Amino acid sequence: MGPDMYTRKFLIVVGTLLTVFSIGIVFRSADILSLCLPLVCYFFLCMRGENPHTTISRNSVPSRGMAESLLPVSFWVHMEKPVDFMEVYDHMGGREQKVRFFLAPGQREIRFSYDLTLRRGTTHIGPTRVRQFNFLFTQYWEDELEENTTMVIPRIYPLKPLSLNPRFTKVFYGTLPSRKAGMGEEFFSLRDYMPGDEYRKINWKAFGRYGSLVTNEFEALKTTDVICILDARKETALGNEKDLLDYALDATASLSVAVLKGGNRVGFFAYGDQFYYLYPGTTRRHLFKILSILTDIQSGGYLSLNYVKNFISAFFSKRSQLILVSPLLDDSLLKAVQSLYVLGYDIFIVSPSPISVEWMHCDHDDYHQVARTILQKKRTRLFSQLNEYAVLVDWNVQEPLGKALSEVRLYHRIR
Amino acid sequence: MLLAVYVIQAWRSPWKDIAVILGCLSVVIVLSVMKNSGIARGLFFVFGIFFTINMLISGNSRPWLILYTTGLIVSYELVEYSLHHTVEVEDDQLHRVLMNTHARYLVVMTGSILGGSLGALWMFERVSIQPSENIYVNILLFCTLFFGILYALKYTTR
Repeated sequence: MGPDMYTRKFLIVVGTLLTVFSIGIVFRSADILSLCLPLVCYFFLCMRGENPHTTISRNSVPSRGMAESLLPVSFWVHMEKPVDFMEVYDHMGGREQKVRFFLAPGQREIRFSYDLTLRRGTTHIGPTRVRQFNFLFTQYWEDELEENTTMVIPRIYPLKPLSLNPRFTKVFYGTLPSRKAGMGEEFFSLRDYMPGDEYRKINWKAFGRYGSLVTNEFEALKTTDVICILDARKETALGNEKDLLDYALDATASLSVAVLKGGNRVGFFAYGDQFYYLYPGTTRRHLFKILSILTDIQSGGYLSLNYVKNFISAFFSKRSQLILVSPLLDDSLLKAVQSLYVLGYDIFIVSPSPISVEWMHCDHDDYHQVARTILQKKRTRLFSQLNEYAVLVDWNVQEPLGKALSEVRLYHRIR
Repeated sequence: MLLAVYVIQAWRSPWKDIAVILGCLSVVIVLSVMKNSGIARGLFFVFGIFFTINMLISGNSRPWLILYTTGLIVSYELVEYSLHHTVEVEDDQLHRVLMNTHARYLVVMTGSILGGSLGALWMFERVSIQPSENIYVNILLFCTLFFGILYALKYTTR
C-alpha cells in the first residue's frame, strides 16, 4: 500500500498561494490578499483524495518455459476506494509498457492480460507499478507488484530417434546398431546351430542348402556415449532477433533429448569465450543441467575446436559418438575433426547454415545472390572435405531440423 | 473561449501592450493544446500572472478579482483535461460517462471555489478579526488556524 504523494502541480499551487499571500502582506494590499481566497479553496480541493488501498495480483507464472512459446500473463488491480485516473507501468521481457486511462465512476477492479513470446534466457515478468491519481492530478498513490522470473530453455523440436551408426558401443542394450550379434531385429549373420537356440531362429533355407542346422544372428542394438559439442564462438552472433547461436542451441537441446530417449548417455561440451562441460549421464536431472547451461550461454570468444579438442579427449572417453553443432565458420575445424577422428571418436556434425540466417535478413538482389552462391560453394567444398571423417547435416534454419536429419545418408561409409 | 474573454477584458484596460501580449500567449496556448504539448501548462501560468497583474493595477473590485482568478483556475483545469484527452477509452458509452463525470466535477469545483471565496470575502469585509496589534502575530495565528482546518479536513472527513 503506497503512501500519499503529491505531484508537481500541487507544489506549484502551494507555492503560488504562499507567494501571493506574502506579496499581499508585504504590500499590505487587501486586493492581493483577496486573490488568496480562491487559491485556498482550490488548495483544499487539491487535498481531496483517499488512499485507494490497492491490491495487485498476477497469475502464477511457470518457473520454466520454452523459447518461442507464448506465455499468457494476466494481472489485476483491485481498489477498495475508487480513483479517477490510473497509470500502469509493466515490465515484460525487458521492455516497459505504460498504459494510462481514466476510470469509470465506482470502478474498483481492472484486469490486464497479454501473451508474451518467450526468448531464451531468464525472462523477467514485472515489476508492475500502478500509480493512481485524484481528479485534479495533485495526489497519487503508488503500488508495486514484485517481478516473477521464468527460465526459458531453448526450443526443443520433437525428433525421431537419431539414426547414428557408431563404430563402438557400450555393453548395454539400446537403440543403436552395434555391428555385433545379439538381440535385435536386423539380420546380421549365420552361425552353426547350438543346443538351446530358439527354433524360430533356425534358418531352414540354409539348412536345406548346407545339410546342417544354421541359426540366424541379429545385429544387437546397444547404447553409446554421445557427447554434444556446441560451437558458441563470436561468429554465431549472426542474425537479428533470433541469431545463429539460438538455432544452434535449439539443435543441441533437441538432439540431447532425442539421444537420451534412446537410452544413451549424453555428455556436453561448449566452447566460445570459455568452455563448459558435463560428463555423460542419463537422468532427467542431467538433461536439466544441460538445458540450464544452454539457457545462459552467450556467443563470444574465439576458442577454436582445434584448441579445445585436447580437452574433449581428456574429458570424454575415446570411442564416444560426438555430435558437433557448429556453423562451420572456424578455419581450423577440418584439422580438428581429422584429429578427433584419429583419436577414435565418431563424429556427427549438425551445421545450422549461416548463409540461410543471413539470407533471411538481407536484400535478395543480384549482388546478394552472387555472394550467396559463392559462399554456398565454399561451404559445399568444406562439406566434401569433412565428409570423409564425419556424417554431415546441413540445416537450412528456415526448415524443420527433423527434415534435415531425416535426409542424412548414414550408410556412406567413412574411412 | 475563456481566454478570449480575458484578452478582451485586458484590452479594455489602459495598458494595451499587456492585452497584446496576452493575445499572443493565448494563441500559443491554444496551438500547444491542439498539438498536445505540455508547454501549454507553463504558458498558461505566465498568462495568468500577466492577466492578474493587469487586473490588479486596473483597480477591479475584489469580487471581480475572485471571479477572474476562479476563471483562470477552471481554464487551467480545462487545458489539463484537454491534454489528458488523448488517453484511449474502451467504448463510446464509457467516454460519455467520463465526460459527464468530468463536467460534474468541474461544475462542483467552480461552485465550491466561487462560493467559498465570495463567502469568505463577505465575512472578512464585515467582521474584522484582529487578535493582536502586531501583524506578524496575526499572520502566525492565521496560519495556525489554516493548518488546523487543513488537518481537520484531511483526517476527519474520511
